[in-house]
Amino acid sequence: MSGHGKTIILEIDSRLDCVGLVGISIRALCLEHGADEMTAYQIQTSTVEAVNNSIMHAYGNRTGYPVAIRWSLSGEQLTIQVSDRGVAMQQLPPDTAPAPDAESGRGWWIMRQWMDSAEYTANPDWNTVTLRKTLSS
Amino acid sequence: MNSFLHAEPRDQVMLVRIESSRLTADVAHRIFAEVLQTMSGAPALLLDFRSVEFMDSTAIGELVLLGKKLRADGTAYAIAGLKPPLMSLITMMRLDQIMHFGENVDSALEWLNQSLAMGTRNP
Repeated sequence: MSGHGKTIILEIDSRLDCVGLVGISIRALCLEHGADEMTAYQIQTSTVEAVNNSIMHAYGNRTGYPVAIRWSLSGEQLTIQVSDRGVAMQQLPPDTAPAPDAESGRGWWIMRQWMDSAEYTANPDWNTVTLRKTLSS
Repeated sequence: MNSFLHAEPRDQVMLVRIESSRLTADVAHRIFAEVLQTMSGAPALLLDFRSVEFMDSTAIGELVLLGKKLRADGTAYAIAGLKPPLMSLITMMRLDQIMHFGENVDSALEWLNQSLAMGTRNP
């Protein structure tokens, strides 16, 4: 942690059984910094969705690869970046509600609904999902 | 019995309580496969979610898949006991349009027994 903001970086192996710990950590950090239970839950869920996507889609469920989670708070502005070195997404899923009986394809919808913004960038080194939300005290 | 579930028959309904606090991508498929194994030909299933604290979209997908299998088999089913944050996720995903979610086991059991008596199965 440094300066006016606070930043914490977590890194896990690309294993789904590690994702729960990321979610618990993110939730605790948000609660500690003024988020209410529902907001913390929504941020936890959105982060877990982004990390799941890295493991399942970017890495194709292969273990042994890094997923980095950067939690950063500046004032009330929370930014969470989830980065991987896997296969980049060619296009974002459509910004439409998935059908109730869909068996997949809900992750980005959840991130878009529960965060103020959810963006994706890809470059030769890292693919990154950036989630932003204002934590009102 | 396995480590994730507790099952007990209630007349025609198999009541299955999920005993994992997390229903997530790493365990959801296995848990719902075990749910199907516990059915033992019962005409109805009531899934008790009261112990579940967190669920991701992969688990929701697996729940949809389970519902499709039960529907294809003509098995009535309902879900009970979701905590408010999880219920908000279910509502946002409009799963309450295709499945019955009871506030608690008793109300969901009553709905299931009425459905069985009337010969109607699922929403």
